[in-house]
Amino acid sequence: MADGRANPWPEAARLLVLGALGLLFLMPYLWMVSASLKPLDEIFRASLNLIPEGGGTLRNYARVLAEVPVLQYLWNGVVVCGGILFFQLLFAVPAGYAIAKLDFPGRDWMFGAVMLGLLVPYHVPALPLYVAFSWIGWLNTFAALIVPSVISVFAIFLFRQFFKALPDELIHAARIDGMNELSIVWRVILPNALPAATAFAIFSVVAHWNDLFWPLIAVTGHDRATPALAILYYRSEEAGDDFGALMAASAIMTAPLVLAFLVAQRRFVEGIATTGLKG
Amino acid sequence: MTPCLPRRAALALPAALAAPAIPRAQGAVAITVHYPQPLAFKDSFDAIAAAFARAEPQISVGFVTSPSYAEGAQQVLRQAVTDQLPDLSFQSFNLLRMFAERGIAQDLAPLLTREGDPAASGYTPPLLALARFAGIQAGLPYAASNAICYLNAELLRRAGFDRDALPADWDGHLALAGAVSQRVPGADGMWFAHSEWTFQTLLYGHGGRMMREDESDIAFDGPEGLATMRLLARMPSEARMPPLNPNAAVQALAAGRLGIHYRSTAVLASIAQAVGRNFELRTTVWPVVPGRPRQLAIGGAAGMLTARDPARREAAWRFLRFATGAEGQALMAMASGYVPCNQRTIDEPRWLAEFYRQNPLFRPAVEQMSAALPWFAFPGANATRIALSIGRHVEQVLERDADPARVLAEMAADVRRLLRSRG
Repeated sequence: MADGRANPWPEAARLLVLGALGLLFLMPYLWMVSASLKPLDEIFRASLNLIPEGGGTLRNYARVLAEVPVLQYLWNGVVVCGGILFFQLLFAVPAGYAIAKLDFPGRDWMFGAVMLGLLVPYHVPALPLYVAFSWIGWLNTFAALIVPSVISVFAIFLFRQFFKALPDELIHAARIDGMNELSIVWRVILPNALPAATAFAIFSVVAHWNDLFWPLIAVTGHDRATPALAILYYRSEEAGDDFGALMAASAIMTAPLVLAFLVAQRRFVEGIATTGLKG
Repeated sequence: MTPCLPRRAALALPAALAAPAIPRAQGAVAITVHYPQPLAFKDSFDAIAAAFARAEPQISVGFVTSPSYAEGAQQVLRQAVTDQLPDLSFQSFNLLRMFAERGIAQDLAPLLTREGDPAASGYTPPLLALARFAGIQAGLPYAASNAICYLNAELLRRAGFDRDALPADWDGHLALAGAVSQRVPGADGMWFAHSEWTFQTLLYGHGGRMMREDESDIAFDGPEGLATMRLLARMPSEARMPPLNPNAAVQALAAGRLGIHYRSTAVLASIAQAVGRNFELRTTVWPVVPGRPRQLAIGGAAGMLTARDPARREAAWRFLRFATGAEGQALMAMASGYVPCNQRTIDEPRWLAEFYRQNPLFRPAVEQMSAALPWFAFPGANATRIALSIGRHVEQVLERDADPARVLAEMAADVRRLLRSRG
């Protein structure tokens, strides 16, 4: 943080600019919440008002809660995102450590393969995966939603870059103390890599929470549907979108992410600031 | 297939039809029914399933849905590859041809005729034609929509028109829309929902066809097609139609800034809700081409039978038959606002007369069902690309001031190319 104690004006100007920008970026979200509280004919009126007339209505929310099993969708989202993140860290942290710090034949080739993996869009393997999952009867299961994402080459790359910067002395000291490689990974490296891990966790959870493409293919019906699919319920190309309910569903489905961010805000900002990852 | 209860008495009453008069050696069956856009259809399917459960308690119906027609079609195509088809699937009329050509939809004609004359139960030839493709009865129509006019009665009055004496043809409509945009400051006269479907509707109004009878070549590049394109070109020039996308056009209408909105009845429920009490909304039948009878392309969805297992196939057929029967169609119309696809539901006042008296906005769509023509679907794998190409070309005339004759020639060439490369 810059030191502006001598003269308060630069600080105030900075706060003003940042505050205005913050409000600008927050506007779509505020607009969503505002629209979710209005009846449809008020949303469509020619005049623009952020505050709903007469204090607003909760009818849209009541509709969404009545028509879509919201808790089920949110729970599915937690299971899927949590499962994916768990396995991604389980595989990517040791892999990143090995590529960054261990010397073994073929290491550079392996890193090359990781880079190559980054180039494959995830839509490409979707159809083979679909056919394979239907063969082994995994469609409409959590496994179908989790397994394709358990290995993240992006995470391996990210951790490799981060571990590269960790001092070798740390690892040497651990070896001298008699730790084996696995406990080095989990007890020495990971605690030091927490900023990188939280930064990656944000990207992973947000991406999979909002993912529409793969759940739409792998899942039919409510039982395993993820939060993004609930929002889709209120879209209809032919019969017209129901904007009030659409916005209410979006507000409900994004609320857990917003809450999680608010709770762990400091961690996240640290993680992104120290890994040089900026969106 | 075991023949069952083809009795005239059973056909006379839907309730009687639903209760099997002959004890059947068949236990409980569970079927899976797929339908798209739950926002529009969920209420109607829930109502029908409840009535069906009372009539045939031994059949339990489970639903799966997909957000849109396009996603629904892709889902069923994928499931056909992996052998996980639902027993019954509802698809948009224009996508049904693809399922018929690929052998996924089964021919329903034998099932229909084993019950006697289909027309006696409301399945008249024009209604069945909506879902007849590739030489088979690929589906039974479930819900229909056609193009109507949504009017802002207040704007028309301020422009000096009597809202009870509106013009019947396009010349009158364009003059009226032009007057609204001139006389009411800040208002636009009209917006036309341009798409391949409304192009067909205008072309039929001019007496044209999309392809020749034998499908050897396209048929829309003749004088009727040119007249259609010229009519479209008059919308921005004479009636000052603004270049809006469909969502923006609904917003303009609901905000009270648009005189007439020309579009499918499918959006009626959502437009009525968006307008709310902002102004008086009216609907009227589609304008005719001067000197020609009214003819319209019909949109909507039909149920196609995909079950292979004989017991489930029979159960799925019974559900489809119930959903498209007189009672099922009345439930569908009341819960969704779509136009019923059973002639008995349309003709017999006991089903919907009360509903239309209370909801007069829904009436024009039913009144013009007698002018219904099937939504033509192009043959081959490029059908969707062809529809998109037509939509793009129509847009050029409406939004970019392009020459109608030149655009029609380009469109014809593009569609011919896509038809040839169908493989």
